[in-house]
Amino acid sequence: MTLRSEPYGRDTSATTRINRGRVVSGATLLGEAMFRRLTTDRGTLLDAPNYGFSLRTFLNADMTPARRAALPGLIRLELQKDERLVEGSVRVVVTEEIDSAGAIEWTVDVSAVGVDTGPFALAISASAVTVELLDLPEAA
Amino acid sequence: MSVETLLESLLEEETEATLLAKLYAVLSAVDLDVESFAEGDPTRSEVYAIARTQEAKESIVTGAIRGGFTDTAEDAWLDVCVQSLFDVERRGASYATCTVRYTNGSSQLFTIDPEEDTARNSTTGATYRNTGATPTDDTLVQRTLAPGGTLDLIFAAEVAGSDSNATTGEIDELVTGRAGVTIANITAAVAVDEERDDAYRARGKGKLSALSPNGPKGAYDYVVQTPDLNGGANVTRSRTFGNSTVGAVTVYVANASGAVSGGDVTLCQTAVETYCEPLTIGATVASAVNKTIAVTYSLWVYDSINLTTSAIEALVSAALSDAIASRDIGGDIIPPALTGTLYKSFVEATILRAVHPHGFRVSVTTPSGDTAMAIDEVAVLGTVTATAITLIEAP
Repeated sequence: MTLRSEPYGRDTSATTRINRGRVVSGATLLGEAMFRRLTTDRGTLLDAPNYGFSLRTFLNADMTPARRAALPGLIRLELQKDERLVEGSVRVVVTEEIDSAGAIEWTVDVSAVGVDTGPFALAISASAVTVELLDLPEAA
Repeated sequence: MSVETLLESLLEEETEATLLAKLYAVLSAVDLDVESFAEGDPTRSEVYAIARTQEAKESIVTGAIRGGFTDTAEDAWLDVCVQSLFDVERRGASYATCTVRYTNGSSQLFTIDPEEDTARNSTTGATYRNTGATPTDDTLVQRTLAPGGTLDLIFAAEVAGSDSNATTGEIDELVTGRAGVTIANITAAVAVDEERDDAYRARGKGKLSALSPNGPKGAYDYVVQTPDLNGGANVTRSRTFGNSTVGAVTVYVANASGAVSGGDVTLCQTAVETYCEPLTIGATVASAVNKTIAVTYSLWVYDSINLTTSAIEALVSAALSDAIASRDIGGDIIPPALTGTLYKSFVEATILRAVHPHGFRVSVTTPSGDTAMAIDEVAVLGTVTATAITLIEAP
């Protein structure tokens, strides 16, 4: 696999907000892109009507056993839409925890292989109220 | 050079595509790899949002600029322009009225209050409501339909415009339940649509001519076409011809349907004599004479139009109807000729324009050539026949 010095170019860093003045590239750019896919309701992106699978919206609904079982697959299908990932390389593990207040939180661990970056991983914490990026690879 | 051409050379309306291209060119110039942008990337999303919202603003701004000039303003902008410059309002759509005869085949007495009954044209689906008046009595009061008797009432269309027009007998359904009673309209229901942009623009400009003490041609046209001056006559087109030898002026009038009623001709004559006929000049108003133009055609259209052949046929018929209704009385005159023509090429162009940009070939067999028009003739659309409409797979 050939790894370019600046795969996927450069762009402004954006996760839960746009981080003006900070430019990312490589695996970090890709990881942030994957995070944005999981925090955008489908149909809300002007130029991409099929983009997005909002974890918060999904988790706000009644979490039946069937929905729980479907969650990793749905996340994987959404992330795999990004052509910068090697097809079939996305792996998703969803872990459910109940905090001291009785609220449910999910940890979503994603591993994937970028076409030009090689393997990388990211971790997301999600609940019915918030979605946060826990861990993301730094730019090479 | 016309105002329209001058203005178009000054205005450059950006589209989303042209704005995107310019924004990406700026980003490339600051060394951003725009080729690498993918769905959801922040800069790409921002750029699309800017281009999309700016395109909407462009449309409003250029519409407003064009709206400042009579020759280029359209729709509501044209109303702003013509009213502010000439104090002329657009002629609105009218409500068709007619006389409907009730026939009571039952032994029951019926009382009918104003606006109680609804009648329907079973062919078009248009509906009408009784006003309360009769052909001989304008008062809006309750009327009585005797057992076995008949009653004539005035009905008005519920929707303004020519879509509610009906020939005698077409209004044949009484929606309001009255057992044993049948209805039919014994007079035609005729209404006009809201004045089109081109006619409104011409009438606005024509008002300037009406201010002239010497009564030029535009003054006659303005007076006979303006309801406030012509007594409400249904006139949407006119053409004035002069005979300088004897000082006679003839004003031919027509409406969207063609020839004008005798009553409306009389109203226009009165208006001309009151408002614009100068001393020593004899102006005569006369109705134009209908010249029926039947159209038979074959049409070839790319299937990118996404319409059935029936829908295409309806589109073409509507376009021909509008186009023929807009032609001047006497046809198009090319000097030094003194009489005009309805050109076959105009008919062909109208058909292709109706399906633009998907149509690419039309063959008109009727009319077989250009149609000569006398100065008092007005073109009215006759039967439209589509010999064949061929859908071709788009390249």
